[in-house]
Amino acid sequence: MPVFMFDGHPVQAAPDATVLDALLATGIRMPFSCRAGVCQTCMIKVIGGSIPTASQAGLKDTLAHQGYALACRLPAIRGLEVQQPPASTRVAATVLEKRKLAPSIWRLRIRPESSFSCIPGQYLTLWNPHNEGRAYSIANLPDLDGYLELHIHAFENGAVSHWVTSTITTGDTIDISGPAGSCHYVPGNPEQPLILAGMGTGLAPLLAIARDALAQGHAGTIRLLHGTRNAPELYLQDSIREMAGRHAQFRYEGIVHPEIHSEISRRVLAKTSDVNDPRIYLCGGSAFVHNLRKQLFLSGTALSNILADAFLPAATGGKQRDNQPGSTKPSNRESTEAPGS
Amino acid sequence: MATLFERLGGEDAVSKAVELFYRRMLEDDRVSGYFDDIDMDDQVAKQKAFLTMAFGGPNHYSGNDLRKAHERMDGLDDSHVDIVIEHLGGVLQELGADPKDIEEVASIANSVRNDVLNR
Repeated sequence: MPVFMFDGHPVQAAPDATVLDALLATGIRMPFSCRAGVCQTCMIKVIGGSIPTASQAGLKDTLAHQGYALACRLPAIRGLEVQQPPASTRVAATVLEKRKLAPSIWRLRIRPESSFSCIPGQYLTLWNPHNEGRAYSIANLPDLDGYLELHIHAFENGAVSHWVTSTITTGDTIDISGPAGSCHYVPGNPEQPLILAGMGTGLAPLLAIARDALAQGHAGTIRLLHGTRNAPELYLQDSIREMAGRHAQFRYEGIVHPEIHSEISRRVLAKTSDVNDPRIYLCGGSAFVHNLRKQLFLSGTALSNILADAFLPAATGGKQRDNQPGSTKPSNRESTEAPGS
Repeated sequence: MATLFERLGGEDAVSKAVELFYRRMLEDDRVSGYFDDIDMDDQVAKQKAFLTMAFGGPNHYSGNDLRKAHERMDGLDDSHVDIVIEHLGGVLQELGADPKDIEEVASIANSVRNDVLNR
């Protein structure tokens, strides 16, 4: 049974366990969410031993250089010494506005107290007072707007979403970390048709990407498809229509359908074959995103032209991560690399 | 005298071939099930490494890597290796490769058969 050091104390691990597994098994409340090496909630600092590349995938190179790694991707082996990252990886932010946009969807606007640079479409982690973190997409252009906007789906038992909806008010200070994610606009092909398709709060990064593309002078058509099962959840329709009114190349389709996965997929596949060499952005639950990505690939779209940001459910402590189809919990991600990024 | 890898078109050929190959595998019911729960981007990266090796390019695999990679796959047998070789050949034909070179690629792929099947 390998033993490694955590904050100066020895921790025993089961064979083949990750550092995260081992810490949780010992009862240490290490923060985590997706358990898939994506959300970065379980980031830890390695101060002794070697760091496998896979455990640093997706981390900013400055953080990787300093020895940060993801505990859920770090094998627990003898000779490894880790410590919780100092709180300095988190930034304080002031809550400017909290507003309900739909029965279960809230908009949060926050202003970071120190520099927090990000690319529209990336996600950040919001931390509650119990040191639990969840990832939310940045839904706007922070440089232009002067704040970060998040769209939060409220879950009754959501570790962070419940705290946001029931406790936070304007003027409060909250902690954020990140950003992370590679699903964003990449300039260089201004005539390329863009198709952005999302479900539920998957709209958030897509709105940011659409605005970013327009701000960077993208001339090709930008088609945004937003799908939900229920009409009240088709949020921000008025402001998106207004945006479409101001930009001829931007088109919006709000879709409500009982079989929304297949309906939105059908429309995306149809539009993809109607235009020349499109780039497609997909965001929402992992079942929807992965399935549509596969269908697009099989119909001839290059993977480099499909950028996927899939929401993964937060794994509950002690259980294996449940990444089953049908889940739309917006707590973590799998982002596809944007070429050139 | 150009090497096999050079004749086939090197890295460029691998880049063209990998998605064609992956598509064929996903559309082939005999093997597509093995790809069900795998992230596509991860898979493409692995297949690029495999195709590079099979095309006679730099090989970063040890026999053990291939064993470990395929260990967890239930029911893998000679027929699956044959199917991979079949699709490699199909893709290379599509890309206009010389039949002799296609044969060489097949034999490189075949040379790791026992590692893949953990024999």
